[in-house]
Amino acid sequence: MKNEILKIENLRKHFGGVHAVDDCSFGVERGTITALIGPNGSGKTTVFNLVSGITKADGGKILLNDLNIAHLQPHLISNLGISRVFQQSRLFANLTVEENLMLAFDNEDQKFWASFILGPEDRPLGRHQGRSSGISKKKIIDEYLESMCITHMRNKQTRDLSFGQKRLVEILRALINPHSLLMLDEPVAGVTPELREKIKDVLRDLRAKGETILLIEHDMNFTLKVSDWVIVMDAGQVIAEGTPDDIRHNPKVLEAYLD
Amino acid sequence: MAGKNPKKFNFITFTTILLLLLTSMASAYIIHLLILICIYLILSLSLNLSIGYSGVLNLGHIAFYGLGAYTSALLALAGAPFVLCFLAGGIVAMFCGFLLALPTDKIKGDYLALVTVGFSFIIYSLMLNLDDLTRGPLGLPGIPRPAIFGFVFEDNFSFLILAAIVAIIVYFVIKRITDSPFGKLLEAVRDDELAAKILGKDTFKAKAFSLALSAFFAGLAGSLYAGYITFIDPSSFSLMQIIPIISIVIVGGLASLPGTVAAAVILTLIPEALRFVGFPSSILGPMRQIIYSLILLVILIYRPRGFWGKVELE
Repeated sequence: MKNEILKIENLRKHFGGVHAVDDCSFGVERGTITALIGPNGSGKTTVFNLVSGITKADGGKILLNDLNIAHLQPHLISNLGISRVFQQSRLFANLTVEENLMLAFDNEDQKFWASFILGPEDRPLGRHQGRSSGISKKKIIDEYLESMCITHMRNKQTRDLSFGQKRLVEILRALINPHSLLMLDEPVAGVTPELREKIKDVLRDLRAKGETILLIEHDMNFTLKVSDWVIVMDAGQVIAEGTPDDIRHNPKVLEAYLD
Repeated sequence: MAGKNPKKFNFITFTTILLLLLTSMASAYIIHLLILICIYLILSLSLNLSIGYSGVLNLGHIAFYGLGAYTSALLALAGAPFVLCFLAGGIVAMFCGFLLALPTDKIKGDYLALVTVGFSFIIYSLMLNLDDLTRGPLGLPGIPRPAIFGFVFEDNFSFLILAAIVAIIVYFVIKRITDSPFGKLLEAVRDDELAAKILGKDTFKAKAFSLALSAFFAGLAGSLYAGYITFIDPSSFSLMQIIPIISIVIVGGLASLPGTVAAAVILTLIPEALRFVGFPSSILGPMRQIIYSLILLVILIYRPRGFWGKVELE
């Protein structure tokens, strides 16, 4: 029996006369890296926007751990365990790298009075992403920054970072944000080959730790190397799915890309 | 010392010393100016909380100032003690700030700015037309001077001390808010609301809270103003009165509290030079507005972050 964390059933989204997502169904199995691929305009990012609540579906179901999240607000969906990296940088440009990451840990910052009385001091964290409680947020940030070799950027405002550095910080922010499903929209688009390798290693490490990842990526080489399962979309519908080897030789997929 | 910014500290010390020096010169005119600086400072610090830190382009801030002034004045005229009038001014403004925040979930940017302008017009019209309550254009005369524990702030020097204490407290409270994790959340919402939502933040709640807090402090400034001038009428709270306050926020810099302090001092003093040029009093008021508008234009074109700002106005 499949152990699916995310199940999409007959999802539909129309923009005027355009059927961006048309009766789309697929599942994402726990502990795997699933890639969503397809030519430009095939509806991949719309599916991401529907799953994360940015766009509301016209029909169908989005089941996260069997709970239909299709009509929930984005912040509620995030709190249910979906963390996302966007195609374009969406870091808080006037905040530092550390401040960006601090915001991702929990929603304690929404408690005005506690925040006002306790001030900006670093406080020990409860259980977080498999870690035991009592560790300070700054210490966890240290570990993450070290893992990406960007500790020296900690106090830089993110608007001053290069494209690739922004990408790394965004991935870290999504990792810190408590989640059971990580969604990455073109994580290696526009980054240097060295950084691409680094992100590939990070994804493999995450899979080894049991993370579930759903990613969109245009770089087929990268996608087929890191993914366990590949779903191919065209014109808003799933036209094929299978292992990277199956997909590599699937005539329907070749046709969709050649058209 | 870890976490402190010596430059900022020196700057505040410098401003305080400057104010104390001016006070020591103690002419009635200078004391009057310093009281105005304190009131403008509270107004502009609170507006910076809304525009600079939360990214809510609130052009209706002057309405909260007016609401605070009228609430405080009406209660004071009914015999209520100053502390109650003062806090009630803030609380009524805060409640209206929360109401104004309700559409912020759906309306953003320029459209929200228009809504806040509309709000300002509504409050102004109410002040002008609720004759039974506000006496309309005739205004409310004879507002008693503040008194705390039997001490009446009758002369302007004692009132200046009261206004300065309130301004200093407001400065440090807003600083505490903006330095806290809640303040960072507000900045995150300002920079990218969608990204904040994707991190699980209820951005509507954050914006509503910030607008209500900002309105609360503006209401306090209104209470002080009513107690100082002892007469208020709707003309003091028309939409045009937002120009000096917005100028202070933008010249000082968005999301910069020390910048707001400096700009409040400088921009309150600059138009005063006109008095010594010999313009007739009938054109002094419009000339002030023109100067503020020119400063605003120059800053927006050549220094969009203001002098000490962290954030560029988009």
